[in-house]
Amino acid sequence: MKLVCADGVGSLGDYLEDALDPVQRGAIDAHLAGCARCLAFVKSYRATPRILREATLATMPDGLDRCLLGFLRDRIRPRS
Amino acid sequence: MQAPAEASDEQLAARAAAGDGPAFETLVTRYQSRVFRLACRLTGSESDAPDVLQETFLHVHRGLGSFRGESRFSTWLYRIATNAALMSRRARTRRPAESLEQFLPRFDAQGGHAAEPADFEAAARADELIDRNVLAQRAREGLERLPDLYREAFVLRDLEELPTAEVAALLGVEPAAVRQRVHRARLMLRGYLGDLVRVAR
Repeated sequence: MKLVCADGVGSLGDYLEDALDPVQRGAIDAHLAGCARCLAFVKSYRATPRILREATLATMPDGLDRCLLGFLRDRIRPRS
Repeated sequence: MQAPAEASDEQLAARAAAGDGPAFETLVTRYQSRVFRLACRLTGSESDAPDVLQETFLHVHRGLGSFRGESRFSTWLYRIATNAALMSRRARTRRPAESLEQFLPRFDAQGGHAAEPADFEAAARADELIDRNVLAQRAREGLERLPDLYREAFVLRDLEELPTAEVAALLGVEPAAVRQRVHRARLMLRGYLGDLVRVAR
């Protein structure tokens, strides 16, 4: 089974999650071994989640935890 | 009896369902920052996150009686928080975002990559090549421009780092569908990062 870059890119998510059968997997491995463009592409594909994750790390503003507990205590009456 | 801080989520949920206020508050304390971060990522706005937090934990409290432990507590809570964030998105009118389709990879007639390895190498280093604050803003805009189904799957799987099976259970779809949506989102965002680098240079 001979692959071109477009085929490999289409299966890349399943490939990285190990969700391909051994034949498909082998075909991608063989293509990657000889394709500098795909190797570089995979690198950027794998870096994407990390870059987005780090760039969207929001932390709770000071005091919001107390506001939240106050709100919940107010709305949730203790059962007697 | 275990101190609340050491009890499992499921133990705390059972106690909270029986009316134990401190057990419920321990769950709130344990999960509030994760729900806040998820809300920011899904709504695209820090200003909507406090409402999403309130809605989520009120809903959790109301639902504790029907939580039977068929799924993990965290999966159940993430589902409630995701729904609350989506409700909050819908409540706000938005300009239709320009699609990220244009950033999908391009191929030549033989199916080979049209771009050069150097372009891909640059995209992989977007966090080094783009100013931190600019990237934070652009990252949020990029997420906003994803189709809703892709955004949900990508945020839960790749940003919150939940396992695919858990995201599938949470969204009520097959794992293969999660993988496909996450894959499409990664392809679009990868190209988007590449474009940001090009513009920044």
